[in-house]
Amino acid sequence: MSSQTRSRQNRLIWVLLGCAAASVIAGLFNHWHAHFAAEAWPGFFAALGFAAIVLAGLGARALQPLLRRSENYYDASPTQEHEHD
Amino acid sequence: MIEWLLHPAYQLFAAGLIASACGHRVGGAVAVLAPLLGIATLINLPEGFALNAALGPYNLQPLRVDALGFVFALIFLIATALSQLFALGENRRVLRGAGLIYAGAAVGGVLAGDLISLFIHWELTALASVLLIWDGQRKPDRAHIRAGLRYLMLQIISGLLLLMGTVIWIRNTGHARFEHIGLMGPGGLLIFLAFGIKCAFPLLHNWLHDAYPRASASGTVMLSAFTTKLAIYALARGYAGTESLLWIGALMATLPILLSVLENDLRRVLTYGLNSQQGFMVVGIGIGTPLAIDGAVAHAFACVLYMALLFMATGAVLLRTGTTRVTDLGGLYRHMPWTTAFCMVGALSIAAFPLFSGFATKSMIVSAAAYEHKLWLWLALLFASVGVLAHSGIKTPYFAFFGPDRGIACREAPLPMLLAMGLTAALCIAIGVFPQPLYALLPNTSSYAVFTADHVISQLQMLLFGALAFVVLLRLGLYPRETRSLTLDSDWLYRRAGPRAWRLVMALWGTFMRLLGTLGGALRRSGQRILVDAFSEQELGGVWSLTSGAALLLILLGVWLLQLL
Repeated sequence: MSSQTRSRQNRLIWVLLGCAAASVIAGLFNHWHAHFAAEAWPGFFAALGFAAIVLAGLGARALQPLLRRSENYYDASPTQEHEHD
Repeated sequence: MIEWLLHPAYQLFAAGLIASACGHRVGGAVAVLAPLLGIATLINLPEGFALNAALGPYNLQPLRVDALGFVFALIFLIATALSQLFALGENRRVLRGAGLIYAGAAVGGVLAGDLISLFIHWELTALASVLLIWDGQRKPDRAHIRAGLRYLMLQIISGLLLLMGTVIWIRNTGHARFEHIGLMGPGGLLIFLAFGIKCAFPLLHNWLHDAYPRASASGTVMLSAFTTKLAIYALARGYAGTESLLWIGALMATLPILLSVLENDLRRVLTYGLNSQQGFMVVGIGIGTPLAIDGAVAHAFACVLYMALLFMATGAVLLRTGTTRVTDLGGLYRHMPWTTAFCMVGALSIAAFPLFSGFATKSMIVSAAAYEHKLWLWLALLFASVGVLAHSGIKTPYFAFFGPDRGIACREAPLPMLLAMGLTAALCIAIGVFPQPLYALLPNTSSYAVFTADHVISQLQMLLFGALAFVVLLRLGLYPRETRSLTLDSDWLYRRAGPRAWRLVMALWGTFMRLLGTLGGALRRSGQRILVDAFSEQELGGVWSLTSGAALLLILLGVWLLQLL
């Protein structure tokens, strides 16, 4: 990856951080019509969003050895297994 | 007889036959114009209009226009027009013929007023759509044909369950009208399972990921629009408010997200996205309040469009580069800027970013869960709302169009495809900005305020921090790396575990029989000796007839005893 794309990426990440911070600040000034108490906690949805992706990423990582197989997993084995029979 | 031509489905059937017989220009024009004629017809049919036919003592209603059927028929016809326009970029007879007949079957299904007509259209969607899957390769190989057969088998099983349930329903109620059935209704469970297979319930879902990504670029666009949404319609009519749908839908919405993270083929990643979105609609139907049902219907409407758009963008990539594998793609935005932009619109729509279609419709279902104070359900839906980023929101656009550049040089998608993507993207934005016309079409005409500060701020927080987490995981190297691989799913059960278990059982059975044979031989030999020693009465017909006679008597005695039980 060239340094130019790297710096462009970094700039994008700063923009993302700025927007994310703005959304939390906006939440502080909002009067929540909450159905659950948690909704009104400051940054509740931000924490939930962050946690959800971390959970999905790490969960998938944990499942990796169980579920990931080589691309020809289904193509190769049946004929081989027939030969065993 | 002429009024039968007013059925939009039959118009599509006729157009399908004509379009597949004609060449590219005429056939293509027929294929794109026929669904527009269908829309014009549908809009002008008065509410409550019906066509009736008699089957023995039962009244069939192949056409019934009411609010619920109307919305689904309308979006199906719009999707048909858009996908046929997209398919002009590929010029294949099967896409025009099977595509229009498949679309017609789906339209016929949602407009069917009775269970028998529903069954006929239900099976026809299976038969027509399998042609689209087989058409994915010019010369389908063994693996391709087998995948199509697996798909067809599950769809046919779904149809047979529907037929059995229908027969029980008709015998018990004396009519064939399709209305609320419920799990406790006669044949209710069978029909529920039939709908569940087509809806891709957990463990009944795998035909979706197995078959859809094998179709051609346009074929997958068509497939993504109809079968699963036909099932959503059927559930909404037959099983609104069924409690079991809550946990089924919650599992559907959340589990596919984990698998989508591991998957390498982008079109397969999107089928996981589709499955997750189905979960939202199933939850809406399960909640069953007027707002929730309206939310499910509206979300189905929006989902048809943004899923089609995402499959169109990945389809265009497939057409131009020959692959949709994450490990082979990257940096395509330089070569396909328009496709990139349209894919972003699709991604923002499915991620329910404010001002895009998913936001206007998904919020209804999430709000309905909150109004019913179902905390676990609400949290599951929020988790799934963020999880969208993992499959379609970030993964698809990032790895195909941005991400590490792999030096692929290709052209922008052909004009018809760009036009189709542009129109679909425009509809996604239009629904997101002005959702009111869509809300007005909904069966319960809920008035729902979507652009409240609560909705906008909470959704933005979730998406932005979700995206941030994605960046953090990528930078820390904690996000599962893309590798050339496939992801095992429940189809492993019938593609690997089932055959293995069967072979094991057969081997055990063989061993058992051999053992029995040896044991029997030994017993016979020793028994013969004892008998010969004991009786030696050759004149009675020999030991053989004696032993076999005794065995026969024993068997008869056993049978007699058994029948006494």
